[in-house]
Amino acid sequence: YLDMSYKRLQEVLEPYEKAQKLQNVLSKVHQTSILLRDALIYIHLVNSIKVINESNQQLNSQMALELASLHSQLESGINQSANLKSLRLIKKFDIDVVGPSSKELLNYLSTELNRVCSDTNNLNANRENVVVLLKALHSFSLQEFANTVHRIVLSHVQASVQALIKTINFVKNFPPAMEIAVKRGYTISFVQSLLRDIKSDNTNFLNEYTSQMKPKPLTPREFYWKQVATSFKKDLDISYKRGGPVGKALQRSREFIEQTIRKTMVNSTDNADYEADMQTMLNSVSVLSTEMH
Amino acid sequence: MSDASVSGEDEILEMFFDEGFVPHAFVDILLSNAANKDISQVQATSSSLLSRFDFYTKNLTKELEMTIQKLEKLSETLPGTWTVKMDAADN
Repeated sequence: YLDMSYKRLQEVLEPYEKAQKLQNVLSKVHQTSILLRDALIYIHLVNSIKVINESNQQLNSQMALELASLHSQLESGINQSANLKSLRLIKKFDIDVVGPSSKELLNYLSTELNRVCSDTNNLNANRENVVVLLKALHSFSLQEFANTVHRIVLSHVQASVQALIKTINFVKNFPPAMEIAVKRGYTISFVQSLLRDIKSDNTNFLNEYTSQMKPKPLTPREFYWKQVATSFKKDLDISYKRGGPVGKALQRSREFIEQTIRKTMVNSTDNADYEADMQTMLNSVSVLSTEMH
Repeated sequence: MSDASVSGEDEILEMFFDEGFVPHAFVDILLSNAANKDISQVQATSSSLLSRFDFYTKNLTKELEMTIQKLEKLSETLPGTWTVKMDAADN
């Protein structure tokens, strides 16, 4: 019985081993196939980047959008396959083509977006361009998108704060400085509405940007006015508390300053919802209604 | 083992039957060697290799299915104790 059983076992073992072998071979063909296919897609994308970069054409926003999409596809391909990343050809492409191209692209996008958004007078005319640049930056990297928009907001904050602080000693110049702050605030409000109008998955660019803001999820507009008000208040408080002729002049001008804020803030946005931002600015001069020591 | 039905004279297929074959190393060498050549040539070579792999996959799968069917038939004729012995052989 044992002998016969052994023979039977042999009959089973042979196909069993064959099945194991075949499964092993199939798995290796499959792995090779997948890796080669991923690499081929990567090569194709790198090639497309090369074609654009070697076209001898000055980079424009439309090209940048195309490049950004190619880079984001490369990125997701690499993230999905650790094996792909470690191929020597891919590493070589990363150093020779992908790295330099993505650096150049990011530099172009942030510089260009910053330039267009600083030009407060022509922003509306550049509307389409801004949208394309924002889309490109967003597809390139959510983090870089948020960083760049944030830097743009900060640069407007800085310019407005500078203009306002200069008027502490010359209250007469407060209205034109406030006009500057409002104009820049309007620009931020304009960019914010562009962001809100660009849909992304189930949300929009504005929500995505705002959710990246730390520590509090503030909109660009909220952030802008809070920052402007906070910095202005700091300097104003110091000058006022110091007293002297400057403090006295500020005290006498309290009504004038508040009226200026009320009058100008109306123009800080196309929407009628400027009340909250106006209140933020009025709070920044609240020290003027306290006793001067 | 008789792999003749699928492998024949095919050297590339033989390669996959080699115990020491590592897919990553193979693709790495293949592409590195091609790196100095024209990109479109690399793409063409890779594409044709890929269709060859698809062909292997089809045939190997068919052969595996047949082998499994054979195993299933055999198991019906075996006494109940064989599974235990199979496990022992496996280890």
